[in-house]
Amino acid sequence: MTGESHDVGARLRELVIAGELAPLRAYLDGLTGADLRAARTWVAGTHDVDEYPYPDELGDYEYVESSDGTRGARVDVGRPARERAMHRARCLTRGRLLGPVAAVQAVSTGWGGSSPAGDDEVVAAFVDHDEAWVTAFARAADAVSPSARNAGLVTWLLRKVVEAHGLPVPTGRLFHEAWIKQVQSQVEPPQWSDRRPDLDPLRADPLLPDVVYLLLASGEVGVWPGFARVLPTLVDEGVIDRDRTLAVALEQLTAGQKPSSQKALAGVLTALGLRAEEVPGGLDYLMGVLTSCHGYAAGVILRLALDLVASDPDAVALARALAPRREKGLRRTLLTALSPAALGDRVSREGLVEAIDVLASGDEDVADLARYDKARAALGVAARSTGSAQQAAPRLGLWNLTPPTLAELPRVRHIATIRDVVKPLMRTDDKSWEQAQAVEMALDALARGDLTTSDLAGIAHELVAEGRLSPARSASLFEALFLGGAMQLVWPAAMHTADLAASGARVVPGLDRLLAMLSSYGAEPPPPVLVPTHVARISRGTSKAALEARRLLELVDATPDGSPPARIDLGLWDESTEHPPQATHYQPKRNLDSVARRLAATQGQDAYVADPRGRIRQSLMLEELVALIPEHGVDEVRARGSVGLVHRTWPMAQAVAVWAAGQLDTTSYWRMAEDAESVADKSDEWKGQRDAHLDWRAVEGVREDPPVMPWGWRESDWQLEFLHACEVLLLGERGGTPLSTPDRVDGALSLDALLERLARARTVGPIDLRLALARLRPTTPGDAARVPGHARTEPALTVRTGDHDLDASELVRSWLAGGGLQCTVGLNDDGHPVVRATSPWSWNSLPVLARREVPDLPPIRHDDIWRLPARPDVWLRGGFHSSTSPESLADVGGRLGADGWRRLFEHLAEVPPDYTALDFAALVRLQRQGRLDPAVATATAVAEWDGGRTDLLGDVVGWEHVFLRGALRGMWPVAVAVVEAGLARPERPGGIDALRDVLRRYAHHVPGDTVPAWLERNA
Amino acid sequence: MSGYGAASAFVDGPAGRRLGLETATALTPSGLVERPVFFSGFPARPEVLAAGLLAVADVAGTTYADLGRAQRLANLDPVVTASGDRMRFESFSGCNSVHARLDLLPDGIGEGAVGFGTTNVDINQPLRTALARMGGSALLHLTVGPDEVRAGTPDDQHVERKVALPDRWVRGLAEVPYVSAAMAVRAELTGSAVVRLARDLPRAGSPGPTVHLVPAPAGFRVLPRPLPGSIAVTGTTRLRGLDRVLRFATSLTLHADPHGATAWMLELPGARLTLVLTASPWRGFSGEGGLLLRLVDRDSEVIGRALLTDLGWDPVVEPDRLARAAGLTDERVAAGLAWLAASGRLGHDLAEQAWFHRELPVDAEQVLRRNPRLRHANDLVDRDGVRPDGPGTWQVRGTGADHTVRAEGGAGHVCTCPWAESHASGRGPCKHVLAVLLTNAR
Repeated sequence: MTGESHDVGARLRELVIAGELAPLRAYLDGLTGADLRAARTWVAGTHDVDEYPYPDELGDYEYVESSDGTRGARVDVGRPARERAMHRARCLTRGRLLGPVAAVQAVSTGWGGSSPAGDDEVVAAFVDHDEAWVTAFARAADAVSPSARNAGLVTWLLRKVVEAHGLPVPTGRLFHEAWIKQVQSQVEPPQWSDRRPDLDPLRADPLLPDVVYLLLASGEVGVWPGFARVLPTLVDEGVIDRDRTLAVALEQLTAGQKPSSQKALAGVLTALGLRAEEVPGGLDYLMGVLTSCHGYAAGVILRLALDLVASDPDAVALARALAPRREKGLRRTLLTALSPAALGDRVSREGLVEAIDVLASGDEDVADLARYDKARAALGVAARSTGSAQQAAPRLGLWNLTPPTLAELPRVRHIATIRDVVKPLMRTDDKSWEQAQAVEMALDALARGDLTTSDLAGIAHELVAEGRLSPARSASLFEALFLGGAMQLVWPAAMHTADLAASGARVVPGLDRLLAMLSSYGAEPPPPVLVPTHVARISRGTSKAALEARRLLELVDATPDGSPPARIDLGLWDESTEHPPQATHYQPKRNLDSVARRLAATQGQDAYVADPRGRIRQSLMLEELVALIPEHGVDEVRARGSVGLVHRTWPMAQAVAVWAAGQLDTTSYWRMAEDAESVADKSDEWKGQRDAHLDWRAVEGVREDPPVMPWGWRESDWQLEFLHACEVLLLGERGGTPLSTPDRVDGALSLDALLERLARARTVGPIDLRLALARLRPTTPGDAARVPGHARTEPALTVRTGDHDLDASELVRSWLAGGGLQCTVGLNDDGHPVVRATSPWSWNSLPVLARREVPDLPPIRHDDIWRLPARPDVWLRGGFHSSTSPESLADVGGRLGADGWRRLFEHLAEVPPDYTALDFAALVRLQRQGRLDPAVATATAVAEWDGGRTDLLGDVVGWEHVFLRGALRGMWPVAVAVVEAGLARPERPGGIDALRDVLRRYAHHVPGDTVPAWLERNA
Repeated sequence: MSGYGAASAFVDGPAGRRLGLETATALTPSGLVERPVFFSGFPARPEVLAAGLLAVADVAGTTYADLGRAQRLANLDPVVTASGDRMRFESFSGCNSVHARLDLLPDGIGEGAVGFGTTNVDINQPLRTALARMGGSALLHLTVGPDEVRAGTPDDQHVERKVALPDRWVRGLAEVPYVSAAMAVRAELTGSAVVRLARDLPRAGSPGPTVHLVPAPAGFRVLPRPLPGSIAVTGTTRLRGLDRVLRFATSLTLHADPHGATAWMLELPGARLTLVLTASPWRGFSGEGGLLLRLVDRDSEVIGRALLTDLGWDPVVEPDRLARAAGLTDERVAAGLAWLAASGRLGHDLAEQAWFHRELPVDAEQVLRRNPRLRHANDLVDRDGVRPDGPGTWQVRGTGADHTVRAEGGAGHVCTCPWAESHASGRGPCKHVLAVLLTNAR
């Protein structure tokens, strides 16, 4: 013991780091004089042990293996346990040596996690003090903010101190919130259990009964919604006092507690059976509470207040107190009571009428006005509401406003179309888009013409088909769009939506809200305002919707039998056309000045590839670079053909950058192919030293030994594309040209083109040859005889030693004779569709690709367009939902076969899920490309029915969606053919009648000559 | 920091109903007075007074917008100003974005004389409960100050609760009159239209949504989006403070200023309750805005100090009378009054469209001069951070770069600093403009 602070501090630090409490306590107990003062100074300070000492000093590091068996990151395996021990020790020093307020401050702001339950040594450090210390500690701890870093530990220690010394129950929010969390979990059974609450833990709490009263006053009682349920038992057992509990609850209802706590307080009144005559202050008090409390509590208070109404002034005063509240339910409860049968023995007829008038003042809800009149009628008073409700709102001048547009933003592809953004706002029980944001997007789209009246009406049709149209939510959306300046566009859609909601045998719930909203803006459109047929029809009824429909008719001065508005043209028959990708060529270019810029332009700013055709253009430009070498020489092409590519991350650009830097030769090529690892697998230390992160480039990595490639190297297709580009560039230096360059924009290659290139080739690259075969359009085994000559692969690119080559022509023959790459669609063990791909020549048989498995079927569908093009049935293995990917089914060339149609049928058989949508845009493009073949579709359906499948069409909601989303022209003949085939079968397949009904409903949207006679006959 | 001699209380005993609102140290015409009696008598409508006091206390106990750093000061005691014929009770919400004032008017004071002065009154939870139970069926004796009868009761519990008028209240009490004086009446509603508007205003969450009001035959239409000419009401939950007294309201007058602050004035029998809301629910009344300009106007200060002696806690300050008494022009009197308001010595009565004298029992001027922007401006001046750069132009030292301040005629002074660009509208001058004005005044 030296009294030197650094000695004492160093020793304390050692003991804290060791985490052993007994020696620490013994050391602290032995401190006196200067050592004790030095220790206090050290404890009050901030040290490295408050967080964690320097890792290398104490770390217990081990290396954890990576998934591929290589040595991975260093991990301090003992850290969590050691941290806990250190923090317990640190907490003990604070309790032992600091003053009470300083101890609270240090513990609450220090590190330490949750309570060190069961740790008596730590608790003793705070409990073993005199009365003054613990009292001050309790006061300070009770005032700690719930948001304090270590509030949980402070509360836990506070409770221990209070119990040990018998101190008054704390009053702070933090303490009571913690008390609830602790007790509730012990008392309340799980929600799924029918077990009764177990009150034993509560009974055993030494803080009862005061803790109950103080909890009610703490403002935190709402944290335990079921708290009131346990009180009657405690009252019956005499544990708590009923009168005092009720008095506290009543008092706290005037204290402005938060809504959940007010609800709990009202629950206490109900649970303990408070009678109206027990309320101090009587009706005056209850009315005061009624004016300011939240909804649930108001219901309880109103029921008590009604028991105390004894005179005409009471009834009127109660109505006056309630009238400004928003809750209709409360007003209806009071209105029900304002009847001869209820309050008639205490309030005169005149008093009841006056109270009803007070309650009705300012109310414009037609249904409520009818209720008031009914109540008046029961008292023999004539109706007064007629006319007041029909008062037209003043014109706001909305009709001539125009919607605003948002500032131009970079084009970002969203999963959802604007229609799918708007749709949730009209759908029941859907909060997938925050309304304010969606409304701004909708207004912008309306202003730009990206969203139309027809689209809005179409959404309503879709939702009716799904059974999920919410007129009330639609009203909110339409109102926001009206006010946003789009009323001319939206009013017809809103009327149309109301008409749809009114068109069924039963009106859609919430229609009254939509009609009321339309009434409130009825003065805006120029007359005559025409009311749709079904809305006019229901106006003759007595429901809320009927009352609102009647008001709308009267406000817009339309008669129920007046002419309906013109039907909205949903614009479903799309006549536009588009070239199919398999029929579109690219014109080859040879321009050294622009190739680098064009190459860079194929890369989107934020996407791997900006559009699907960009990927194909890259292949063409790779070929262009090679083709420019004979004319300009390697050095010039390297220098001018790669400008601007240094920061590009996609594999081909990385390969070009390595080549342009003069670092690509057969040696480095094989080093990369066989020795390289990904930067992702390097240690943090390695990456830190080189600042190697996501933007690490191959041109830097090739200098490493072994080479360290970018993050994408982990993916087999990234490697494949990179090595292919390297191979093509190296071959180009030797005068070779690539075989695999697609000859159509869908990325596929015709056999004629391949054979022509093969005939001209001096040597070929093995990867390029294999890629060319994967890109081939359908061939027959007989085509093998057409393969010319005996082209061979470049030895230096075939094996690392450069002493072996392959007979390229023979490989092509074998490929064709063997049927090429075969893809079959089947089901996996879970019944989900899977595609199995096999080929006569596997990728991995190439020595350059032997290190990692490259399956014939790309793991990511995105890569199909590059190395498995023109196979739409295979593409559909990933489903038919919208995605952020730029490619869609319409970009995949080739014929949609039976497997593809089956997948389409399966998707259309389901209502689209809330948060994803089918890729209707792709279907529309297929329609424009003329690629929806009714014969194949029908044959597929028949085959499925023959195979015993009955649910192929589902509930046909998806079919209706397809019609509404613009693919009617393409899918109408498909649907007609499928229905005809179904009707012709002896047993009618499921969904056929429903699909026929859909066809009937949409028959007026298609040209007459496309409507079959049988459909017209049944129309 | 002063204290109360006892807790405010309500007693319903053999001597009748007595409500005692305990006062703390007050500033009065005769200086600081410990626990003065401002009133002893009978209010005309006890139930209206009780509901109004609760409304003011509700606002004081509520934080509508939790800014994360707002000090939790629930149940702060309202400030009462006795003006000879009326009393005004004022409070701020915990976030300072709502100011509530209950004016107990001459016709609301049935019997009894009102004194002069300003101080805090104790509103505790038992008293709140008692006020909530108060009906209007019997006479109520009200004492604002120590209650002699109750003080003599043997079992009366003596409470020495301390009370402090926080700086944020002082700054708010200076800014609210300044904001109010710039407001114009936008609408007046009566009868069922008041009830209807109260029903239509959404109160979901805190501070609540923003709505837009447009006039309609039966009052206002509440719209979710703005239209030309509509009145924006931000944070509508902040209007909960009106709920207590709506049942007594005979009319509602809505005032608004050009920057979006609104005032909601309910006429009650013998009283008036006014809530003033900041333009943004996330900003409280913080002693900023145009009053900073006025605070640094030395000419106005000289006039204001000269006028001070003639105010005498007037419930309605009459500029004409002051002009005659001081021998000043109307414009100079107006400038002096504006300085007095900016220094926290005047309140503003929207109904009377007039100032009223109210001096706080703390050095409000000192608090206001502690405004960070004003302090920084003074620092700039002290360190020669302002230099002229041609007629009507100054270069003022900023952080890393100098900023140019120009005098632009009617628009006052304009600065090129980023703060001015972001906040010039509604939050007053930046420190660079203030520094120029201070330099010119020296």
